Amino acid sequence: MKLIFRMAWRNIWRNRRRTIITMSSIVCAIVLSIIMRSMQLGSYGKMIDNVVGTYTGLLQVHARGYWNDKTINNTFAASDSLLEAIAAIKGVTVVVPRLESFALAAGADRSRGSFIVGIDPEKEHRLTGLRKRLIEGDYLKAHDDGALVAEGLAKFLMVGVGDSIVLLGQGYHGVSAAGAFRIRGIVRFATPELNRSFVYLDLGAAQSLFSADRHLTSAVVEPEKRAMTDETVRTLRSILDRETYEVLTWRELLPELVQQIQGDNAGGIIMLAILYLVVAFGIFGTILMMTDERIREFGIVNAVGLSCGRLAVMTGIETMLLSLLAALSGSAIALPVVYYFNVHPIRLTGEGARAMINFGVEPVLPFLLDWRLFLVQILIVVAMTAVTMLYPLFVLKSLKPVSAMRR
Amino acid sequence: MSIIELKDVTKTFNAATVPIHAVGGVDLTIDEGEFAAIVGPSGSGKTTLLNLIGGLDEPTSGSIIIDGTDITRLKPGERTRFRLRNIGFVFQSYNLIPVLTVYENAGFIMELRGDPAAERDRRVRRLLDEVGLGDRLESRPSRLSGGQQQRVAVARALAPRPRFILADEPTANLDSHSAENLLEIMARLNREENATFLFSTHDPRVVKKARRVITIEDGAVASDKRMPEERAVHG
Ligand SMILES: Nc1ncnc2c1ncn2[C@@H]1O[C@H](COP(=O)(O)OP(=O)(O)O)[C@@H](O)[C@H]1O
Ligand SMILES: [Mg+2]
Repeated sequence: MKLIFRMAWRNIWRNRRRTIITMSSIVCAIVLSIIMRSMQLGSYGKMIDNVVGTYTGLLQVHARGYWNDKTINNTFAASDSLLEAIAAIKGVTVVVPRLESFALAAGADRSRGSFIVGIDPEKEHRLTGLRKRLIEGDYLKAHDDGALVAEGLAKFLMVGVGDSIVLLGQGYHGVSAAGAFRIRGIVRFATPELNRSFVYLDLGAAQSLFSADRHLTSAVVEPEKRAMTDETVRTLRSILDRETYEVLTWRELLPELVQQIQGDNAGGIIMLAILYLVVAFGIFGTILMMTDERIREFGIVNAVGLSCGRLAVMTGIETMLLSLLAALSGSAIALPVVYYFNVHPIRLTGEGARAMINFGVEPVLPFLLDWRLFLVQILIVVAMTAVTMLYPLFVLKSLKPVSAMRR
Repeated sequence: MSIIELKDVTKTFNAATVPIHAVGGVDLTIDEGEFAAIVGPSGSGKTTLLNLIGGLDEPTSGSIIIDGTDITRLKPGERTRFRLRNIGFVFQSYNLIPVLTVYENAGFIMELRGDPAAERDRRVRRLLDEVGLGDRLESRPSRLSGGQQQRVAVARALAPRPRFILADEPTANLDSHSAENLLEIMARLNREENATFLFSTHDPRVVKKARRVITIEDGAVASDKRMPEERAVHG
């Protein structure tokens, strides 16, 4: 075995130039694809964090059926023990209760349909940073009887801090809901739909407005990291009664976002596939030459007693070693680059950057630093090599020393 | 005592147009310690016959018995193992492994067989001394002349002490001086180690060194002569 390995190693370097060219192509492909993927996945991560962090959260608990039929009647009674049990799940940082419904908001002269959210002000801020969205006035205090109104809506209603708005809607089980709320502050959203419709009330005030005492439409559950979402969902589903509750992740809550990412991602993957196809042909060409130019040699060593099986192992080691070596060097080159841009994200400029600032997020593009990213690229190279390795196996399978030596 | 026994061996190649009867009805026995030459013009069937004896090719009919084993009945994998265990080969040209050094090439078969490293080292060094390459252990084959390469090939074949050594026109690519030198080395190892050699040639100067000359024509044995002892030794 040591002998086979030694021969394989030296065979790789027999045609030094060809080996270096082949390896360089693999190294380039690996470096390029790792950096590209890291950038792409990093930007998706940022995008998801932005959207999720604005309002939705990573996952939500609802009364079963709420997401398909969002009415105040599809709420659930949130006991403290339930919320505490959820908050106690390992990795959960905060559980944010909400009561959401539609209502007509009216100023002195004008009115418009708006989206009313009853919140726990402190928890809501921890999740979405709502306090930072204030452009005027004060944030809600606990048990506040006032309201925060989105900038666009306030403008439309021609109201400001200190004025009152009247909310008119339908409460729990058809009871009519009506109330007047003093505006404590104005908040700004970059997303126009949010900016022209949001009204925040204290949770208790909202519950009494809609006659839905202690009821919630949703509880946003925030795990420490996005990667922990699925794990948290599993735990939640195991402790919550399936007949009563539904647990949805951001993927189900934000299907358009998922689609947008998938579409973009597919484009990236197709590009990589083309890149790798080119590299695969390069590897195959080298293997083809490494095999064909040595058939006579194979015949001789087989004649003197090296079995075709061991010859196959030798050629296998040769190609794998070549690819793996290149793949590892490529990864080693890509690692510091990815690491650097993970720690020092690329700062965006121009239109996109302005849009991000409006969203309330830093206009930066952090690279994803994840060992799986490297592993996947290495595995792709290994798999490609494994396929091209079939050629020498095919040749060796029908190797006849006599005819091989006649060449 | 016979090591090789051929009984009515034929080999027919089914070429594109007409079948070629490369070997037809050969009966032949080689005893231990022989230094025998198979002689005949080009195309007479020497290579085919040696390939059959070496288990590199299968006869169309007949049996080839080596040390009591009918190798025509072995499966391909078994035959490879049999070759490794029992037969040494020297080919016409380019038969060393280019990526291995002289020392590694000479020890190649022993290493494949898994012979103990210390024994291999001793044997390889001694044999390379014997063939005059004791100072070229670390050279690659490409740095050697054709004659030197063939001497390494002889050392490689002989190192594991095979039952016999087959050499198909080992001097065909050598100049006459190197050819003579190689044959002298082979003859000496034949005497000193009682190694059995069966080689083919169409070079009269090489034929002179043989102690037995088997002439084949059109794939059949035309004559089989044993030479007087001293002629081979002093030839
Ligand atoms: N694989 C083969 N296919 C067809 N014909 C072959 C093959 N090998 C040898 N022959 C033919 O068999 C005859 C004997 O060839 P060979 O044994 O090589 O003779 P020699 O070694 O004495 O020159 C020749 O006519 C040759 O063309
Ligand atoms: Mg021949």
